[in-house]
Amino acid sequence: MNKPFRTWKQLRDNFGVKSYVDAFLGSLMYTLFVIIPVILIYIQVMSMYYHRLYVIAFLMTITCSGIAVFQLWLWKKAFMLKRPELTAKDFPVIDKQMIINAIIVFLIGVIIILLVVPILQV
Amino acid sequence: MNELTKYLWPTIKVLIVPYVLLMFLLIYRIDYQIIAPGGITEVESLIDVDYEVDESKGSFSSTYVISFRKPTFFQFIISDFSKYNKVYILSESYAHYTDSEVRQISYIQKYTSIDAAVKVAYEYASEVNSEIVFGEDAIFNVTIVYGKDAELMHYDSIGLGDEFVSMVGDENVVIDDITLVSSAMTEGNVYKFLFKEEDGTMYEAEVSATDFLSSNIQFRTYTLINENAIYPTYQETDSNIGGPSGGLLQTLAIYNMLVDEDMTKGYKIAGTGTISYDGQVGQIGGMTQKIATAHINQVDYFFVPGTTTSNYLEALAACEKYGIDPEGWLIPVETFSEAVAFLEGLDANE
Repeated sequence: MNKPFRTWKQLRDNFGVKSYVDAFLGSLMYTLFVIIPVILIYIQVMSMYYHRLYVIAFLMTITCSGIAVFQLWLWKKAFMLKRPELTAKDFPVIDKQMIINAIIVFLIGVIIILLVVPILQV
Repeated sequence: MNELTKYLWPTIKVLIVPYVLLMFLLIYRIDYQIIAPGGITEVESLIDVDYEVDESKGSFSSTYVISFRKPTFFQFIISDFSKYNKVYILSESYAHYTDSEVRQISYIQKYTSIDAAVKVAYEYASEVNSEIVFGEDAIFNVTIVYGKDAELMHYDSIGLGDEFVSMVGDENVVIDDITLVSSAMTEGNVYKFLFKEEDGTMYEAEVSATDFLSSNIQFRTYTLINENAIYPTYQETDSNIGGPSGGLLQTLAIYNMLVDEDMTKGYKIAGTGTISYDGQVGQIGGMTQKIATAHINQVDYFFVPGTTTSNYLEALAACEKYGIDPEGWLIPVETFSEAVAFLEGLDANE
């Protein structure tokens, strides 16, 4: 259970807190540049095609899962740019986290679609 | 962050102009109104009557559309790809209201519409079910602030939906009937009005005779229900959907909750049309999108106002446009009793 936490801690120790946080903030900033217009587009498409609400909300959930993966990919890329000797295969913990985050975001989306959307429609 | 920026810089250079343009399209709002198909809501989820009758096999649903004031450029563009959506230039009478004020007006219309529906349904039901009590003291009139002109910034203390209680007219006469207010005013003078907020707080505001007489500040009188004087009682559920166009279907659903016969006969019944206090069915907006909504939701029958009204003609045109056979599906009615007569004539859906 503690293994993933240990691996993340190890990664932090390898790069140092400053580089670790810097890489994270960089990935977060560029992810925000992507997610803001994407969310706006989905909300506006939803408002104009409300009769397709569930389909659009489902697509939005998949897209958000993809963006969650994209953020981690950017984080990994930032680490690799800081240490050019490392390759994509040197970050198995981030690869695993990509899958976990994608699943979490997808499940949150499904819960919203199944529980929150019907309530809002009344 | 610097390494990442350097790495992404070629992409950023290529995308920055389209990105800024896209954000502009997504944020800048224009003075139009778009009406798009919405959904249907079973009236039972909005109103619950404390009375035991057999459970209905079918349902009564009101139909709502999405009315979008001041859409962004992006919404305006994508709206054009849908055969169901319609774009209008924003009506001047609503242009000066904020989104929240429009929502408030829409909720006022809905709540007063439900009271009208209760009145009509209980009165009709009391004729066929002796247990239903709806006496003369079951209704009372309330006058509320319904609208304000754009320039009346100095009336910001007066809230939409606040109740008019009284005013002090010429020669200090206290008037509590809105229809008598104009006779107690002299052009050019300013008068003290007493208002009541929803939570019961009273406050005074000064209104000029000119603004009142030229309807720059508008009042409307509604008949509301005194729940202590009716049997059975009912509860309304909060909802995000506003407007008065569910009136007819709300009346039918409430009536169905008060009589033994299952008026739905096992069908999925929807429709649109306001209801007046005497049971007349009134016209509504967004008919084309409501027909589309009903069609998408596969309802069995759809009530529309009137037989010769523009709403009915619009509904027929929409049916033709979307390939719906209106025969036996589109049901024009002018009164609540016509709708009841139609439902009584239906065979049960097995």
